[in-house]
Amino acid sequence: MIRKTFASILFLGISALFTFATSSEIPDNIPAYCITFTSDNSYKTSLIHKAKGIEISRSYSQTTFNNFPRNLIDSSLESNVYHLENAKEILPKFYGKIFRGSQSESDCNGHKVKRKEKEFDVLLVGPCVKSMPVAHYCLIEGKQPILHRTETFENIPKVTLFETSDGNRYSDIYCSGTAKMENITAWDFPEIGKFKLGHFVEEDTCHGQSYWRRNNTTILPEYIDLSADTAFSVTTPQLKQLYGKNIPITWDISMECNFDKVNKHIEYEILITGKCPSKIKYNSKKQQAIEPWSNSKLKIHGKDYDYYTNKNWQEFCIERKVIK
Amino acid sequence: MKYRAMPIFVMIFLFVFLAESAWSKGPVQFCASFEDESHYRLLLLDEQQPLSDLKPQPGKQAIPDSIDCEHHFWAHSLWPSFEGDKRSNFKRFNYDVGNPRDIDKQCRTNALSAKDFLKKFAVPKLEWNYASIDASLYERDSAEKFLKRFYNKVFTGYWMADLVCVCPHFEASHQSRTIKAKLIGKCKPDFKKEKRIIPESYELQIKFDDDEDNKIIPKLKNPNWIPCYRDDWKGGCEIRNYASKNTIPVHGQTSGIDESLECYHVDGKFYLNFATNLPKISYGTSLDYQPCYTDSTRCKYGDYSAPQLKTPFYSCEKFNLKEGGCETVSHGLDFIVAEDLKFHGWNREGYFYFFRQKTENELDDFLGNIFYNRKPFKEYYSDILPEGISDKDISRMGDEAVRVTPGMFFYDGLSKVGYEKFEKPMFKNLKEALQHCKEHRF
Repeated sequence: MIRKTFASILFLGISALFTFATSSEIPDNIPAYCITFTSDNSYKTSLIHKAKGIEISRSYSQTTFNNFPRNLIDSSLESNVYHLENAKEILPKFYGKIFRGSQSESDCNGHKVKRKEKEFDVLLVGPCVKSMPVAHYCLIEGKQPILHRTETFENIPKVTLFETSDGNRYSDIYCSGTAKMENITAWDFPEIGKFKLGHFVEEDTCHGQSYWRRNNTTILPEYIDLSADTAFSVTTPQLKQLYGKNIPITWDISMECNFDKVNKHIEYEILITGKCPSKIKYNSKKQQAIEPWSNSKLKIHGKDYDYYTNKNWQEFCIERKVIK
Repeated sequence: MKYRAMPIFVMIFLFVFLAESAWSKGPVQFCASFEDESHYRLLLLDEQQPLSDLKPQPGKQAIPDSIDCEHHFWAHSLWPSFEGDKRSNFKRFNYDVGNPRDIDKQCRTNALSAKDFLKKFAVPKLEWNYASIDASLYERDSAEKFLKRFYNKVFTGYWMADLVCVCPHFEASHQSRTIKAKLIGKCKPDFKKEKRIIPESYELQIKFDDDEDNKIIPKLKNPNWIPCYRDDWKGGCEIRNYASKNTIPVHGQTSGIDESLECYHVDGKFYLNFATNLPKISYGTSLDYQPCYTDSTRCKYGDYSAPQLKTPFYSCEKFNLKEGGCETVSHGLDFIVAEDLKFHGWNREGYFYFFRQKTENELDDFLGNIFYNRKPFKEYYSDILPEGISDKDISRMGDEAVRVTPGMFFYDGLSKVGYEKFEKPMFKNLKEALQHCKEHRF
């Protein structure tokens, strides 16, 4: 009798699991992904929900592969991009469905390779939308409220400045003469105000030939001291009202290179989960400053240092500052 | 009396319990068939065994009622525990349907549209497909030696089934159960012979991108060009560069490039510097600090006794080994032109020393500086023009450079006094650029 009850509860639980999968709620123990179409025949997946016991890291020895709908051949540069003919028409049918994922970790030691494999269910939620948080932050409560990042997901916004025709985001941007990058992020705390991260400015003051990173990721510091922006003030009780709520963020990044200018404006959200566990402490002295700089090299007349004085051009000429 | 009967009841109970479990049926028996040194199959010796009581394990995971896919099936596989982790070496594409390339081709030729996905299809009942087990191919170096130690031993098998959609390809449900199995030994030669066909390899042919390196580099026809050999680190020698008795022409399109111009005001005269992609031709007895080894069989790195060129020769950094000539570079020679718009010689750095000499009061100091300077000053004066660059070419490259330049530096003597950033291309030709230089208030 007890066994039957137990069995029926288990059965109900499993059916409930499948019901959840098709609704907007994501069950705790299944990794979930949202998608963005990269072309008419391909889409990219981003992890937006993690599951316990399934650590998805991007180490070189670990690969995760999810059996999402795709054509078998035609590989892409990245493992989270799937080729599917008529993806925009066909993929919506699979929103909210469960698929099989697998993860393998290889331990290479000379000729012998030890591999561990794991299989699990994964959920394809649907298109990536703004309301899906890109990160989780908890609050270190007290007189000086500090936000601490506890989680990041794969839908963290990235922006490509001056897209190339081949779509290669990893080639450098080359500028001659004029090169200047500006970066500013604003967190809009509902009914409290806007907290600014930035305004970062990076410029080649020697007008040489500079190389810049083309692909930029939004700034999500590990710790955020909310008193850093003097134009913004907030108390812990005010922030407690926002536990469990999303904070909308705007990110503006622009670049001037040669005669061209580009501006990008991106909106996204993070979730404030609640109070941080007491073991999380903030040490202002140990905090790394935010370094959103993109310049990788500067050459003048084809050389990256001065022939006569041995000065490194990049160190000497690239000006980096934060405007308040 | 009751207490003595207890152990008997326990024994009866245990016997009945064990009889009901799979253990009492005995392990499923296999023999091993070796395809080659590193591939083997486990073939079911099923003729003598009742396999009907092996049923899918209930309740492990719910099986969906329907699937949004017309061409779907349960893909079965067996994984023996002695192979370690479940799927590491297992060739999953060993499906009944064949080669993935063909699967994809089907998808395309059938031209699936969204309409095909509006239908739901019932998921077939899961029945363990014994035949599929035989098709499982395992990879393991020295397979026969490895398997020998498992003969006549019982191992655990994981019998798995995945609900697979062919087109588009995806895997949905996953079911598995453990079975007890026994490996009897090597299969008799003709046992299940038809199962021994190795499926067509689905691995895409990996193309070697550097096929070019393996090709024999054609000997160039120009008698002035002498091949210089170097260690190819594979036991032989390869042509690394060419040395020339005369200066070398450019391979590729020469042009002025988009760097900022430099306007010099020295001794009451004006000079304009612009940059080009022309490669620098060097004159000396070495290529990147290595001699030019002339014997195709003696080129070991550091073997200074090997035959080599002793007299100075012309060379450049990037010689096109197939067609000859020096490749253009991202930043090459700079040219300084005077007010007559003509180039009179020397690279920018050569001019730098020339200007410096003019502004120094004491010539001795100037010469002294040159001697103690770490960089060999000879280098500045030895940059030689590639073959075939005429005054007309220099003017043309100058015009090209000024048309794309993003700005202009101003130097009074050798001191930088300013920079003007251009919002858009400013000049049509060198003449206009030089005019702009002359009009600047120094």
